[in-house]
Amino acid sequence: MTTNENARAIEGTVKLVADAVEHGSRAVERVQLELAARPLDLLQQIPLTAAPARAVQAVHAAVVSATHEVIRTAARATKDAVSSVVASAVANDGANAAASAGPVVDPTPPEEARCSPETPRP
Amino acid sequence: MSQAWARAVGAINGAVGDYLARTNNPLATTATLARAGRRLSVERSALAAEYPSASPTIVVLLHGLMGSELDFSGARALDASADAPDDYGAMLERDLQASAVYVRYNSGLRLAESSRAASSLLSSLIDAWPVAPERIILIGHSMGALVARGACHHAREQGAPWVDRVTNAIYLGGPHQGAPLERAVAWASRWLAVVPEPTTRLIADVASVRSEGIRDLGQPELPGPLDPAIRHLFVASTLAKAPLVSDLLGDVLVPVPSALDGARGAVRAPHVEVKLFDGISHLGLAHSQAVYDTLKNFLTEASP
Repeated sequence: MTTNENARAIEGTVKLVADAVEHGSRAVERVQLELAARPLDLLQQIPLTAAPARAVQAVHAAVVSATHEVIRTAARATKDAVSSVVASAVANDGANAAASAGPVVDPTPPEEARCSPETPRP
Repeated sequence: MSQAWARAVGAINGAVGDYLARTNNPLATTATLARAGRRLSVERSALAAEYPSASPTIVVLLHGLMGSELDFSGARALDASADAPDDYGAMLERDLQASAVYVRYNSGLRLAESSRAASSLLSSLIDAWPVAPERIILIGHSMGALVARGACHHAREQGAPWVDRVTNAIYLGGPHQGAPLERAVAWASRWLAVVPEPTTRLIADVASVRSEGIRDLGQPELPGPLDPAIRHLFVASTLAKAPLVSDLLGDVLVPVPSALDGARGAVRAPHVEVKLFDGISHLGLAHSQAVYDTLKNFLTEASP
């Protein structure tokens, strides 16, 4: 495996894991909110507990959503960071390969050095 | 690429390869030739270097769902000293003086898409092959059997000349009539999704994270009748002894009637043969000495 292939494999793996974290986090967040809503919705039917239940539900939803947003942001940031590192590593690798290959030499001889059938070779 | 990584990428592509391709993930496999975990360039100079004594007989091996070319090596891919036969490609190179090429493709894509990609790859292969190809033999394991079948059909439709050189096609445990496991998962995830319970919907969400390639195996759309210009061999296996159970269980992943495409016992066309094995698992069909002996006989005997 070349350096570029290694870098692309790492980038692809991180991207896939970050996407899985993003989708998984959204699914788990939805389940947490729906499960918490069941008892809290019931409590909101009772006049005595309605107000505190609404407050608890709002706080719970905010905490759950904020927690999952932090997880998703961290996953996205990791993915972006790895992509930039890989892009610069691939670019450096390309530049180094070009430098080590030396200057590009045009294999066509200069006009004056070419021999035509009419011009005898020196 | 290490062989373990090649296997892992093959498995990931089978599971979510369509998603990888959609999101331009570098892990998405594009159809290519490969050997021992390495990608091969389909260019004359590269092929001449890889096959210094290239034969006019080319054996093309196609792996199954979530697989790679290493599936045909079995235990030898993990341990070269393992007490296991060489892979079919290596053995046919020796016994038929053929050259074996392995197709690596994204098994998470739709079957039709993989078939088109394989057909296009084989067109490039015969153009770049170091000597004039005379005979092509296709060997597909599991999903690879359906891809091989689809590629032939696509090539006929497009007038691709490689298909005219195909003399034999061997289908090892191909789910020609579908895989019940995929149908069961599809059914379960549909029902779990309608239960008004957040946790069951979560399970349904997880179950629905499977590629288009896997979904196609539930009830694959076969590309049409078998090509009459090609001799076809359908190979199936069963792990059960009792007749009824053995048909249903098959090799655990593919029932016997599906692997034989309903051809057993029926009046078959002269260009179609079937073979049923006992006690070989689905994955084992890709690297078994008994299966190899059968396919070698099939390839060396004269056409009816």
